Amino acid sequence: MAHILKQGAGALLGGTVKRTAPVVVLLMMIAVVGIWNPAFFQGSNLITVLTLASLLLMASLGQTWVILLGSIDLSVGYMASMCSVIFALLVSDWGYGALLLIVLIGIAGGLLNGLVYTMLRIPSFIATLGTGGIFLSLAYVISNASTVAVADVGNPVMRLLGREFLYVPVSIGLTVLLWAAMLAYQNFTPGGKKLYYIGTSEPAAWLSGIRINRHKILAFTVSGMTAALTGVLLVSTIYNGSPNLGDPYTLKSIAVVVMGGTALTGGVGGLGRTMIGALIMAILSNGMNVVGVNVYFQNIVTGAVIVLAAMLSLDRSKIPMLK
Amino acid sequence: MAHEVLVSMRNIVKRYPGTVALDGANLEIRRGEIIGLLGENGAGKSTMMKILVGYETPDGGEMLVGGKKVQFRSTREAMAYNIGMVYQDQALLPNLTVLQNLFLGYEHLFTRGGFIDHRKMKQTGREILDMMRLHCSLSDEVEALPLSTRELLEIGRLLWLSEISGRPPVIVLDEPTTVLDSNEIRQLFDIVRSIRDKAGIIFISHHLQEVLDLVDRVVVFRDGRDIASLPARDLTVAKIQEMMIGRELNTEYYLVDKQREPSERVVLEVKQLTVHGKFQDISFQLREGEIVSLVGLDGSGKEEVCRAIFGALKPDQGDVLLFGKRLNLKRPDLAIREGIGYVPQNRREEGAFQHLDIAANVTVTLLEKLAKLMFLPRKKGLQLAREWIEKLRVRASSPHMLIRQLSGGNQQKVILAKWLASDIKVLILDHPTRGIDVGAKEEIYRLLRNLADQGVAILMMCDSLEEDIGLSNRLLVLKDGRLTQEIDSPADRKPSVLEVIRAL
Repeated sequence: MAHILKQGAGALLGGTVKRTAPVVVLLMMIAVVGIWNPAFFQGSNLITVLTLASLLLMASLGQTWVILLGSIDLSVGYMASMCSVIFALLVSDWGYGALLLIVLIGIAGGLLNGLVYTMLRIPSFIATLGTGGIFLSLAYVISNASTVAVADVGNPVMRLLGREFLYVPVSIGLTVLLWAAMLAYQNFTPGGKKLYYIGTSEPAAWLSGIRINRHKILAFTVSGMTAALTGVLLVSTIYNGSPNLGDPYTLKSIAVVVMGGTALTGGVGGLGRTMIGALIMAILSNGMNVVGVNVYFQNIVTGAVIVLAAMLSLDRSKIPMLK
Repeated sequence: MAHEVLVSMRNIVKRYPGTVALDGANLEIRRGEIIGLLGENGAGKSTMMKILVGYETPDGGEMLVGGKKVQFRSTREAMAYNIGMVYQDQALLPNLTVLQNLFLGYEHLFTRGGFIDHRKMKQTGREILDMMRLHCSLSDEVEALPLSTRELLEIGRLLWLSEISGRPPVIVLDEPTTVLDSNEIRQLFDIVRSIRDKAGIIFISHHLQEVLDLVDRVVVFRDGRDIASLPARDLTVAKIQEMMIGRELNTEYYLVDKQREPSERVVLEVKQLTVHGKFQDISFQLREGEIVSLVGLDGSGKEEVCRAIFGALKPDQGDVLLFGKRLNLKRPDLAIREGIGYVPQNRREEGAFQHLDIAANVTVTLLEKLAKLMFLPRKKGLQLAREWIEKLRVRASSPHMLIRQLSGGNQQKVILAKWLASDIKVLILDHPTRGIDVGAKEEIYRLLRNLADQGVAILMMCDSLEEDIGLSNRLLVLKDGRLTQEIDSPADRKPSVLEVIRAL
């Protein structure tokens, strides 16, 4: 037992166990919750779950690649908050222009993260904490430290986001489409594969001719963009934005990625896993509500699941000294 | 003169994956005697010392200290018996002061009521500095001090530790003179001689004349065993060199009959390549189908030369030309694009992607070439991997196997496959057969011969001079960062190992 704890179960579990564990957990959870309270399977509840899952998924898309490389993005939540404020402010007047602006802001912020990390050689932990602070402050300044309601709730963009195609809300569709596009890049292009090489061993990647900085900057830029879009999705659910709205999503995005099975040490996992992680988190949260678990207790459960998931996926043979 | 036996190591066996480092080695250390421990790289002397000081545990044999059987599980346990080593790479903590380093880990000896008595500590510290004739101050930060001072500090620390235990110390000095100038070497030798009677001292060095000047007895290691133990006064440098080598070159093993004469065409030209502090003014040519070996002692700069040519180490001066075209040496990917491959010494961390499968390892340099319109299905990589597994006879059940599950030899084959699958013109190999068993070595030699037949120019450094001589057409000798000599190694007239060792 002590041996398992020391090595990190990730080093010992067979590949098959590690690969299927998240899916098994997911199925088990659906079963447990469904049996406890079949109201879980009601149409309206399922939409709620999927909406929640897509929100978590959007926030975690870029984070997946960042973690795959072996780094971390702590600015996700603040970027989402800042963009929720900006979007709520501008969407009524600018319409689709506001959406475009958000995407550009996300890319700019992510690019900033990437450059600070690679050019200034500041560890991603610190770099993104720093830039995150900038986004947080901007969120407060732009919103004047208050909630920003969407002026014209009926405007085309908001209506589009709220609409449904074949019972599926557009917001979910958008997220899944983006996920699918990124998945294709990750699994089927040289660039995507290089993420895994870098995450596995930077020295070996360098000596194999991979231009590491380039891919790191890309991952952070994408993470900025998906964090920004998370802000948009948040506004689409409650029709207003606020400077703290997205903050919890930093930790949630990391939790989703880790729960899906992507190792914090990098090199293993990916967007497929993150999808599972998002579903697990969403069902966990919704399930606990449906079952009637005390709200405060829910945080304890979530935290415990995160620790368990990390313990199972971490491969300590890859971390020389645990920091 | 030699007194009682302090440590007795008998029949020590140590195995690493793929090799036997020590095969029944013996060593007796007496008080009042300075032993010079000699042997080629890989002969086993470093491993023997690591076991002595508790850094490694033996797989067989026994060790007696003061007549009692012991088994050290850590260097601290060995220190408790007063056995310590001054390492070649510094063991001091550079950001701490001299005072802090001297008593690191032993501060409890100066405590009074739970608090450290700094006055007493400083007093003892000054005594140590005096004993070692050092002029630095206790509050100096170690990283500001020259390497020679740091080394003397480490020796002083060991001597002090031995004094407080009351037991005669066994001190191993691992290549202490590489960082010292001639005055400092003399000073060191004086100090060592002055403590000779109180301790058992082992001195490791490649500078054979130095060894003869200082030591009382010479012990030579070869192929994992101690093969000679003789008084220094009976020996000369030439005699020691003969003992270190031993057997005839096995021409069959190195496939010397397959060695071909290189063509006249110059593939790679290195011109006055310099990296300050590592090597200077290196110039040589590599021809089509030629295998050239770089030989030199530790610190000669040969590994750095190879990395610089590959673009992994930026040169301060000089050029590298491939077929006459000047190369941009900023990054490895630029060299790879032109057709240069590099197999690093550190297979585990730099050579292979341990947690990825064979297919991934084979295709890493070929991704863009295999992809069509940015699209690269997994199938292609797997197919390519299967081809190479077969071609190189890699012992793996499928291309899905993680490379870390393969033996050292098979891992190396996979690493080579990725270069063979690209269209390389030059292949640089840094200790390619390290940690690989005999059978796999032979297969790799065959691979290299085939590669040379196809016209690839090969530059390498091997684990033993025999390997260097056996495989190459030519040897380039590096000494202290300079190219001092070129030795031809044609198939019909191979130089003897002795001849080469004399040039180093």
